[in-house]
Amino acid sequence: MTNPAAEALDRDFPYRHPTLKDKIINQNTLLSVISIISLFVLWWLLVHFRVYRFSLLPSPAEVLEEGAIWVQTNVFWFDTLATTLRVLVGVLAAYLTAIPLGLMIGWRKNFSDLTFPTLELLRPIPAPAYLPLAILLLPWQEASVAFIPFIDAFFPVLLNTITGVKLIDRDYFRAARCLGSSPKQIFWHIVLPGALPSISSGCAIGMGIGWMGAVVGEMITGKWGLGYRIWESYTLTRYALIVDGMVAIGILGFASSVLIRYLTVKMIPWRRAITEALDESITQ
Amino acid sequence: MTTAGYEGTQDSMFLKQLKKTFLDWSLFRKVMSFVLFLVAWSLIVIAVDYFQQIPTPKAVLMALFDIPFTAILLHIAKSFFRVLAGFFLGILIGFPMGVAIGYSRVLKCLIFPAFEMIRPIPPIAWIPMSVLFFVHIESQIVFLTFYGAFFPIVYNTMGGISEVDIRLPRAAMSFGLDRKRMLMKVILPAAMPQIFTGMRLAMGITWILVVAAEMMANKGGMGYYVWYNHTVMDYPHVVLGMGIIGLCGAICSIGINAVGNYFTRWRRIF
Amino acid sequence: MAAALEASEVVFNKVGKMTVFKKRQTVILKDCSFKCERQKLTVLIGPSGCGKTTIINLIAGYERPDLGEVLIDGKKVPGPDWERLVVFQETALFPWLTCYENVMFGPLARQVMSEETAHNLALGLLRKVGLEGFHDKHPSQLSGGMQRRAELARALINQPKVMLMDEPFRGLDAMTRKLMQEYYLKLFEENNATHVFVTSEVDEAIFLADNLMVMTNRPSRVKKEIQVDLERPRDWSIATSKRYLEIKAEALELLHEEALEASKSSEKVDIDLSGFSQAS
Repeated sequence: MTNPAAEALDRDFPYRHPTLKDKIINQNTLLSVISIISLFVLWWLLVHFRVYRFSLLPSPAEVLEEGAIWVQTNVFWFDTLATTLRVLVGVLAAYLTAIPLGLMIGWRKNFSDLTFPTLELLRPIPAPAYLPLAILLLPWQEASVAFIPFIDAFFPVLLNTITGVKLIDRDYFRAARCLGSSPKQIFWHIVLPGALPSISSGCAIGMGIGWMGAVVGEMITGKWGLGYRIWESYTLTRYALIVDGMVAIGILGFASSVLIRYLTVKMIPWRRAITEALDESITQ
Repeated sequence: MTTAGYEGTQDSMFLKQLKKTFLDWSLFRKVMSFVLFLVAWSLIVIAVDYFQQIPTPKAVLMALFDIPFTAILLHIAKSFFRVLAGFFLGILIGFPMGVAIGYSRVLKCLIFPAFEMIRPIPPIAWIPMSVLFFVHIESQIVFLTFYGAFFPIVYNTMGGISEVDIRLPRAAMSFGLDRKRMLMKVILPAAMPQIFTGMRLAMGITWILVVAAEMMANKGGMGYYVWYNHTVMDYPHVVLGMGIIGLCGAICSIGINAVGNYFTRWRRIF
Repeated sequence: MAAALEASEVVFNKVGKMTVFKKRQTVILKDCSFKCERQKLTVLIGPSGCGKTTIINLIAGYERPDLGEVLIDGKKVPGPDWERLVVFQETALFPWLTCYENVMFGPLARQVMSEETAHNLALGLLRKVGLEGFHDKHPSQLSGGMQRRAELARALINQPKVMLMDEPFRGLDAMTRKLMQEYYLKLFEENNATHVFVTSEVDEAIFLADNLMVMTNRPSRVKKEIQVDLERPRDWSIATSKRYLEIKAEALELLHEEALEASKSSEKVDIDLSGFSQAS
């Protein structure tokens, strides 16, 4: 049976209602392009005409020039690698600690009572404040810099995991108990999969915040890495490189967020709608 | 009542009440949580002894009596000032912008893509730019906190406004409300919960940025205090500083939550 | 006749309406024509997804027809207006206002009567719908039935010429629903406006209606118009009268036909899409 709607469409609606899609895409895309272009134009104008203190800032042209050179050096790739590794290690460590912890806290009240108050006490302390302690505790310079992304990402992932467990419909637990599941089975087959949508959105948020943190560590006590390079460029008055560094970090951070979101959606094919809905969950 | 199975009900009910008041296991465990924390802390100190510099809980407590009182207050005040200045600037500029972007599709397409391009750059990376551009260190730091607060506020305001249930403005239109009054009377109240979520996020981020900025600049504030004590290897004071910062952050969070709850009290009623 | 001026006549003239939902163009209404007589209660009943909400939106002025015209008293619908007020499926009371403030919203927005008059009217209406004593409660503090009654009061205070009810009693439990229907009928009988009521419950439809319009599947038009000539005022005892059962049998058969056809076609008849149509 052919699509009756399509037939009706052709027969009775000779004037095609301008599909909202067509209209919207054209006008909006144009405006978006204008938006991005005007950003650069504005930047260029401000520097060129030495508006206020903008004369001290690099112009887009300089930034592009220096950037092109920089990207081809070894130092750039080394820095990028260093920063990326630090962030990844820190954030992954956060995932590996916060997710199991969060699952247990959400699942068992006893465990929650024993651990959650302490965590709530530690939560308001901003990540950079941990740096001195990190330097003490962890022998390598690298590890102490990676500690900041770790702390930054830890709490959002933890909170989202806990929320995820709490959101699981209690009926699933009851059904499992009726069917005679052991606690271990309940954990692996109900608690973990049920919380996955929240966990994945927490992971994405944690990754975003972790990137923020990596730069902090490198700027304060770094020897290499993109954050350090940005600070060094400032002290060496190679200002154009500052912006290049910022752009590089921005791109990497954005790419990693996209990657995480993609991976998590792949992991949870059955709950895409809920994942999208939970993307707005409160983390701090 | 002496029906079978109910014998002794009176007694065990009373006993239950008694147990509930004095033998609350949950509360007990929560207290134990802190005890465990202190124990674990002390154990770490003993186990990890590279420089034997990590302070024990007791050392931190001793340091509490040792703090330069007025100096600390000055540091706290400075940090608070920077946080609040940036935060309120963020609201002042970010809130109207968020409303404009959420309300008008044209404005959204004009402004939003530019924002999306800038947003991935972490606020800390702006420090060198900020130092170049602003003369005074205070304005450099306040710019940073403002930047950190700006994006959550704009995005959440925009989200809140564009996600208002469409039936509410429709009903308002039917009742004869024009567009301008509709914004004030219908759309903003409906978007309040989301707007305050943005403010809470912004508050958290400003504290992180203030500490980081103060660690790098040398101009007082709690972040500076922590870093300074680190450089002179006075670790009990470092930990103390961390605790104070945490406390300040918590106070701000509670404050924002209280204000937010007041403005959305129609939601809490239940 | 002063009474007739307060009520409007709604005419649908070969109306066609298309919507884009999830990148798919769907024809919701095609060649839809009917008339709602002044001061009568017209009920639209049909399978879910057949565009009943779209019809309400068209009369209210939230949307425009792609083909044909929607006429109120002979003139095209200009836009959303106090003359045509909607009571929605799920409550659209303003959650941050109290009951009383919600009811006062219309008069205050339009500023057509003095505040004192509005105040008295509001309290009178709240008493009539049985919400006396609840006027300082927020919607979240009221039960479902109470919320619907508050919405009725909110609409009625503006004395609209057309009252549009979009499955307003959906989601209420059976007893509350019956009570609400009786309430509503009482209000209708005292009120002079034209009422258009949308539902998917046959009993409710017949109990309330003066004219019953049975709709087809998408693309929808009026399959059949049934005159419900039961006496007013009505109560639930008519549910066993002969005439009632005749009408019910006829309506059920028509609906059954449509349901069968829907299940045969490949199109999934699901939730009413017109509520999600993108407003141009």
